[in-house]
Amino acid sequence: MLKKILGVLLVVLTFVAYANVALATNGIGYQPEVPESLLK
Amino acid sequence: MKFLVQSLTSVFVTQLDLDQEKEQVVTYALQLIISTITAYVLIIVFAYLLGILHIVLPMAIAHSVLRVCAGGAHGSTSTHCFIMGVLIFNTLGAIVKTILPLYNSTTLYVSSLLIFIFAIIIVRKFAPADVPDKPIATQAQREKLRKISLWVIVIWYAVIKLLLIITGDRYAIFVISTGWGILWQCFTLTKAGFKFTEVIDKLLIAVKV
Repeated sequence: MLKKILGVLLVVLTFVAYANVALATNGIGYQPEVPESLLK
Repeated sequence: MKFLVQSLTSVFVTQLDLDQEKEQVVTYALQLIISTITAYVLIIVFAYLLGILHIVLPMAIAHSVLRVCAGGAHGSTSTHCFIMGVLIFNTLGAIVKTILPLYNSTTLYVSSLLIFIFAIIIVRKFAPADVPDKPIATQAQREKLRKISLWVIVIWYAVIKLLLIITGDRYAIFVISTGWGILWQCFTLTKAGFKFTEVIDKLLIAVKV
């Protein structure tokens, strides 16, 4: 069950990461350095 | 925040047996989400304590919506970003609360029109304003983000115009506070905005925050 929840969260987190890369910057919080793996 | 991100990432890595690339993606996304939630919570708590939450929240949301497309200056650390967010939005909220009696139907229409024109000019000239940690690599992406930013401003103006026509001055605070949010976001796109953030950042470093 935990693995299933984490799997769904992983999809959400991946979406958030790629959405941020496609957009200009973070909305209001800190903008961390984009990891190499997302720039490929 | 770093500890929380690391702890949560390790749960994903151990449970789902992630490789290094996916681990980086998880860490990055968690940093984004946790820093956004923290910034909003801090801004909301201080605004609530100051009795200006009804002004500050729409202002921060309008600012955020435009910011994700238009970019703008950032603090060098997450703590600096949180402090700047709390200070700036609550100061602007307090200013808006003070000058609220000066607004009437005419000044509301005129000021929102002026903000709309100013925002269009600034966004056309400076957006998207990227930072070294998050460069915008291609010209096509820059064009796309500039167009989306312009649409955000047009939609904002259409919404507040409709609100003013349909409801009169009933949602005046919403109109004013979102306008100030847009205005502040436009300032952070300019060279002066980057300089201002840099000065605050250096001040925070000087006081060892």
